[in-house]
Amino acid sequence: MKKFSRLGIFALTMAITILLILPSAQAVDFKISGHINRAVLWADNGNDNDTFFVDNENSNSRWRFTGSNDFGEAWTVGITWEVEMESNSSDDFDIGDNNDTSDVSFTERKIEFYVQHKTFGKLYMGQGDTASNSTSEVDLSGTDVVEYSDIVDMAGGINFRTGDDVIVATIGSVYSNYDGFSRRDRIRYDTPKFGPVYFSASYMNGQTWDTAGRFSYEWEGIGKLAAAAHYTGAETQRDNFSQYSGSISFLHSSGFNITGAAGTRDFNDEPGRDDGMFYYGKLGFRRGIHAVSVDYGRAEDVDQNGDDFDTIGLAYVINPWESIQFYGGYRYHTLDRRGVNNIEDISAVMIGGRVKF
Amino acid sequence: MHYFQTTLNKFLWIGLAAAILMSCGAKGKPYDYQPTADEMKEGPGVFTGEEGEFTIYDSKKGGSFRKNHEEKSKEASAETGKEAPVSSDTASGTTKVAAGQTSKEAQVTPEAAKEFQEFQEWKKEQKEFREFQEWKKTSKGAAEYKEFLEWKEWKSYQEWKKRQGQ
Repeated sequence: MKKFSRLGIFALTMAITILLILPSAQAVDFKISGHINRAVLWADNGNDNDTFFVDNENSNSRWRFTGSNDFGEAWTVGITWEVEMESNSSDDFDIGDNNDTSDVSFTERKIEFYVQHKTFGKLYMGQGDTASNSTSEVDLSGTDVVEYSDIVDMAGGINFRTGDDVIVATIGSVYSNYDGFSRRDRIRYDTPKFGPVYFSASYMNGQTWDTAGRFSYEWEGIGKLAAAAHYTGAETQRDNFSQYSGSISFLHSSGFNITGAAGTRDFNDEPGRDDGMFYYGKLGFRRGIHAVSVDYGRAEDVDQNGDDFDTIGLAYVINPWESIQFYGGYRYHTLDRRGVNNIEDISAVMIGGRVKF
Repeated sequence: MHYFQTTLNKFLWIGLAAAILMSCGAKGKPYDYQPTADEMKEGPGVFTGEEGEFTIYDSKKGGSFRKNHEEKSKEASAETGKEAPVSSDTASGTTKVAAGQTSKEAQVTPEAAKEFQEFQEWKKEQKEFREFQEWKKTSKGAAEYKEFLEWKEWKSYQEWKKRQGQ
């Protein structure tokens, strides 16, 4: 612990020193950007159905300030301050919720600065993406605004129920794409790119850490490939498990694309607990302004031993203009739980649009 | 667990196929993958124009709140016709671009000024400019660009020679 604390203090001292000794800024910019992503969600839990007006959690509404300074030929220092403001998140609803989920949720996403050197890489300080974030979510299908490996963003708050309307579990609790630690207060380092590859590591509160590698390459006349994977160790005060996951996506020049993701978690402090795992696959086609895909996901033992969750989905996205997307998605969910019979399946349809301002 | 291992094996095969393609020398290059599930891809915004960002300040391109002294200097240079920092060196017949130019070299021909102005306009078209920057980074682009500059120099030299002969 002391070792990591010292490392953090050393890194911070280095960053401040670099800022102080470097020559004055050569190029400065400060910008505002963001998007609104709203949808209509219809869902059926086998006993009842309902319609909701939601903010699409796949990519919730947000805005940000970004700024950067170039110092000399090699150094760049920048800031990102990004917040999300959601009214009715799509993964918060259950059938029967007739009111809006809350007034509005106004939450931090990124509050960070970074120091980048062309040769030595990039160092982040503050609230932002951990190294592992998005490693399970590499996707070149063009339909990921409505369906991607984190399938719970669409309707994760809806409960599976038995035929007698007894609540079993939410979709969000029985499936996970084990995508690392999302965004947290951390220090993160990215290596410079070694050809198509670079590596990252981050350290955060609770002595938690993660490492990740990313790959992206484009072949002339063949297509593009992107991949990422992460690993995080065990026995930290905050996250007492070890976990790894990865994802890979290939987009052929013809427009056909294939995506896969998988991950597993070892619950170290729970005797008798099986490892949780998920895998996900997607086939798609995109041409011009259209993209369409079908996908399949499975999770085992995520919430408790003996859980088997399956889902299939169909998605379509149209980009009539570069700044605007309209989309529609259908998803079917099933759950088998040891000792519980007659669990009803859940269907969900989401139709909406994302507008970048 | 069995399923998981099977899936992992599939990934490994795909990775292996990619590695074989790379090692076979299929023409390609690394690119910056930007996740689009969480964020729209870079590009124009409904209100923010080509860049998709509202620029409050940018020392390279100006912005809504440009520094006063920058605006003044730009206006002043426009008035004196020295906005286009391109010089035509008639002795050597070469055309020089702004970078690395000294004040002594600021002999601007109307043609050169017009050409530079067109370049500046084009530079404002951010998307095209970014493509140009990417192209310049590639080995093919760098070679073509060098060849273009040499051709320009040669053309200027030919014109100078023609003028000498008249």
